Amino acid sequence: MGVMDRLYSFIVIRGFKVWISYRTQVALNLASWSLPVFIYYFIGIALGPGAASLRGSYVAFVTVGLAFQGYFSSSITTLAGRIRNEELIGTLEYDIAAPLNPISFMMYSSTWGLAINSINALMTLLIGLGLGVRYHVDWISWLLVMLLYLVSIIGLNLIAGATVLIVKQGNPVALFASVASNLLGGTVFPVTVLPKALTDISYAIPLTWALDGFRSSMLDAAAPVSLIKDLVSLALLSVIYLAVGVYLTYFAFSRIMREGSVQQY
Amino acid sequence: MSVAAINLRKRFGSIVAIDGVDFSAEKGETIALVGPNGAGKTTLLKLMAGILRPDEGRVLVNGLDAVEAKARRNVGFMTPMDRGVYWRLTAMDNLIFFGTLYGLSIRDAKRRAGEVLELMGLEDRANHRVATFSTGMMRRLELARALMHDPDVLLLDEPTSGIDVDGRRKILNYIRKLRDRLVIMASHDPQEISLATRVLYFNKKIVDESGPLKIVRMLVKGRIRLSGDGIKVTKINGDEFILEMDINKFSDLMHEAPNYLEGDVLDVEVEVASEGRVMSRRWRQWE
Repeated sequence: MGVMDRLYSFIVIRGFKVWISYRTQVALNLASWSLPVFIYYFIGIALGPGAASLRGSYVAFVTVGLAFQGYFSSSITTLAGRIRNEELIGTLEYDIAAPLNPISFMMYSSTWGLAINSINALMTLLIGLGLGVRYHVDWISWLLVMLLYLVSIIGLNLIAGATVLIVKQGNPVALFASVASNLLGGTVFPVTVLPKALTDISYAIPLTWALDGFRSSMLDAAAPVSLIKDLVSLALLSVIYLAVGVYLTYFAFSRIMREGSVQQY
Repeated sequence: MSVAAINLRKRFGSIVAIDGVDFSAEKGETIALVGPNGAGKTTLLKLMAGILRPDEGRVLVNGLDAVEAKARRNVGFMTPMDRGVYWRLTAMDNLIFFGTLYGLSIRDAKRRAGEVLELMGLEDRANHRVATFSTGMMRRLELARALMHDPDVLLLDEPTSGIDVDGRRKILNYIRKLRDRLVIMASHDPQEISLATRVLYFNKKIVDESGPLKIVRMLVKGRIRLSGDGIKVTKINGDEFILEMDINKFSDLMHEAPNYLEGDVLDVEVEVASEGRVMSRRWRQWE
């Protein structure tokens, strides 16, 4: 007992049931997941054959980018928003009173963001399929990229959640995630077109390597050995993000429990 | 099972909340923390619940530091808030969620949730969204949540505040039966305090301590109608009476106050005596 029951509680009860209770939000979420694919599909058509140099098809390039970018941006804002919401509705104190250590609590709290973004990713990929994208997947490569990407996302989640616990409002990590995913991560255009300084910064973001790995493994069926640069870079960044996240989480919990600011917002 | 506070101190900036508290409590005790607003009662409960860290000293729950996860497993905690449960979820889902946080399986959490909802008289509302609950029902749900994992130690902050007469009776009767647990509650309510086996008079620190309360004297201004036994009535003026009764009788009296205190009761002052000590509060302040 334990992990599966708690996963059910965090994903189904606290995540899905609360989400589905806001019907307008559900409709807006579905629209916000699907519309960008169509927007970039038409941008791809407008750009003409030049854009096809990207993995053979701009639509394919963008579809994979949009499908997996959500984990990076939305899941971070989902956890940060969740923590903030818990402060506002007053449940955070009771969550913390439970016999879970801070890392476990934050990890479990991250699961809904990851689950809902998996729905987003699947939906985006299916729309892409409908728009003519053909996937040639090497599943082992895909799984390796996904695992390392998720570890880095959990690290970033911890950083974002810990920051919200301390600053309460105005989360700089969420802003970073948004800028990073839209401008620097290579979601809708390759990072090589950025100025050199920004390209260098983009290499410190897991999303950049993950998207490159996903595109190679899903569009070109690239074997793991040909993704070694992406995998090693992702692994390195995952370790760094996770270590910083764990440290910040313990720091944040210790601070709010010392200040007595768990219920403050 | 036991709770011990050792040289406990806590400040919030320049405000001293807890100024050197030493006490211990054992299984079988029901302890009432009594003191004015801002005395630090809730802060002390939060320190014992392990959700607040002391500046100095320690709180031990069954010999473990209260901030350790293992110690928190045996503690149930409740503060009176309108916030604190998920309003978009049903009462049942709220309890299942918190039950699993304490290590219950989904199946056990469902079963236990059914039990505690029945205990709190909320079984008919189990599958209703909390957003539709009244304040009193919300309180009962919060208390149900504190009981979900069947804790050895219950830390309750004004547990019946805002709850109607029937609800109060149920909850107080339940607390009265918890003789195999340790209950520590902060309270202004004579009915709640009447359950205590020990009363700690608290203002930043323990300023006094007494055993169970025995006699209650009420100064009543207004028209009264008394038919019960065990209440001594002394008329001291045209519309002023002293009612003197055993603490258990007092609890009954307050449950059925409308039957005894008829019309426009102008003022009620309560004196609660224990081992020669007397606490005096105007009724309105107890509410």
